[in-house]
Amino acid sequence: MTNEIFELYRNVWLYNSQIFRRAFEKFGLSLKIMDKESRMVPSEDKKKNTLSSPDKWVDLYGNYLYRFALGRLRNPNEAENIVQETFLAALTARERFAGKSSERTWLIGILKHKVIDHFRKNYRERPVTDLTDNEKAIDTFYDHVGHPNRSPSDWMPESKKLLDNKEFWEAFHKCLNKLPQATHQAFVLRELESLEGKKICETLNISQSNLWVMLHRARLQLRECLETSWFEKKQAL
Amino acid sequence: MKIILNCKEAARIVSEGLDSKLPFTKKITLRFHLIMCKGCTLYQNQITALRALLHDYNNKIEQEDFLPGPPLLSQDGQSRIKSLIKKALS
Repeated sequence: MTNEIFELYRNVWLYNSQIFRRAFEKFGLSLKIMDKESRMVPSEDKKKNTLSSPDKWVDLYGNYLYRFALGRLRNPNEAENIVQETFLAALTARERFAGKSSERTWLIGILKHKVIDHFRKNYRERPVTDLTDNEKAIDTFYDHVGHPNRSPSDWMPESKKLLDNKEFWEAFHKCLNKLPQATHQAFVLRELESLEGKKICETLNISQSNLWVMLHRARLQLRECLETSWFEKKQAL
Repeated sequence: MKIILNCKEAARIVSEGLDSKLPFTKKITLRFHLIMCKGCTLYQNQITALRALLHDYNNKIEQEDFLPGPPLLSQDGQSRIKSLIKKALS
């Protein structure tokens, strides 16, 4: 019984598809040709990115990568070393470049990995910011009953107003640089690299509760710094 | 478990909520505080918007030629890296 029904459906389907094919051929529109053309156009439009000659890399991207690294590492020597490591790693990875992203974006992708590696290795040399340091810093924002010393003033960090404003990002980096090293690294991994908490704890070799205190302190301090150094000044103008 | 939070405790939970899923009880006590407290509501909105802004910024500096100067790679560094690349290529 089921076989018969199946057979029936199959015949109906075959019959219909033949009718369609004949109809298309009659109008001179072969489905195959249409498909080929529509597939060919976008693939030719999408230019594959190619890499330039590596001996030009430093002139083309050296400064940009350096600034990018400096935003995350803060230390000029470390940033320079990371740029060097990035270019050397890129040399060996160059055959695997798929051409999907631009050359600069590809190099930045390598650099970001190098930065995380650096954080992982650097935890021994990092000055110890222990929990009590961060807790003490948090305490300074509040009075003895837990009321903030400074109530937030009314502003919003809106992307459409601030994203293209280079002056704002300068102020932002100035504020970010006031954080202690480990707290800064945790904040960069969380808010710029968007890593999960667990991954950050592994990378920086810290406990989860320590990470939460660090991030909380970073947010408190950064918010207040931006408020006084940017938002209140700009509103006063 | 405290039911009435002060601002210091509320801000801590706001931050925690950005990094993990809050347990139900914490969510409720926070909500309860935020209804009454304009300052903490503003605080929450600001740091949440700051996160979104930083996300956009990070995408921008990865995709576009945006980072402003002046810090430049030192001349020494430039020539050192150039010669290392040359060496690796030969």
